[in-house]
Amino acid sequence: MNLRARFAELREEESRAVPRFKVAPESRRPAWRRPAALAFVLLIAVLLSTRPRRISFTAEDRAAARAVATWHAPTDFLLRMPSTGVSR
Amino acid sequence: MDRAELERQLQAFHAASFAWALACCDRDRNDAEDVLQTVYVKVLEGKARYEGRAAFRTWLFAVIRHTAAGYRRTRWLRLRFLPRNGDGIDERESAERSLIRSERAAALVRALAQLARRQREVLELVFYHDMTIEQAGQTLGISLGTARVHYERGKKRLATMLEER
Repeated sequence: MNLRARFAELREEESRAVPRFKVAPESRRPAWRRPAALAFVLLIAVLLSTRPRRISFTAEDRAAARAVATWHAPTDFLLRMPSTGVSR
Repeated sequence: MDRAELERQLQAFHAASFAWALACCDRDRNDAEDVLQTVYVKVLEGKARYEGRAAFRTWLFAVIRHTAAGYRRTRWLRLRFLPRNGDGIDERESAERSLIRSERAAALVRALAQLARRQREVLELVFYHDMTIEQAGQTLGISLGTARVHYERGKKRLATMLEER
């Protein structure tokens, strides 16, 4: 059996199940939907990228910051001069 | 061409278009129906415009092929997020299987599936749709020489596979 006959047989088989011809009366998607969806995605992206970031500190953070600010090196006394405090 | 004339043309080629859509959708009946419906809407709404540079059927088949290619690219997305009434792939496959009853035709479909897509497409257009190799090339957007190479290689390989079965 040659190829043309084999294909004809396949065509015959498949032609039995061709669905009825129908055309949707109008597009299922309105024309404005795609640009609107794109604009919405862009808006979300812009909002997310420009959102101010609020930094919050816990009580532990504040205590650590205070500790650092008031810390003195053990060798600080070596830097003291007799005149230290006179000019203050 | 006005809308009424376009509709007449689409209706005249409906059976052939469905068969070509089936071939472009790896013989998935549901996908072929969806693709064909999308093509009809594209054509009638003027998103795909026939400009008379090739025969209407050649142009229509090219639109179907292009639409099916886009459909295949997003298939995983649709299967993942848009299950059809909870049916899924098994039912779709069984629907396709029921289309082909003869073992010889089924063997041909299986052998075609083993070919490279371009070879398969050229052979389908030439043998199934009785196009010339040149028309097949126009439908696929390739040169006559390239279409001829796909045709020769595909035909040889298909014949070998069918003889082996």
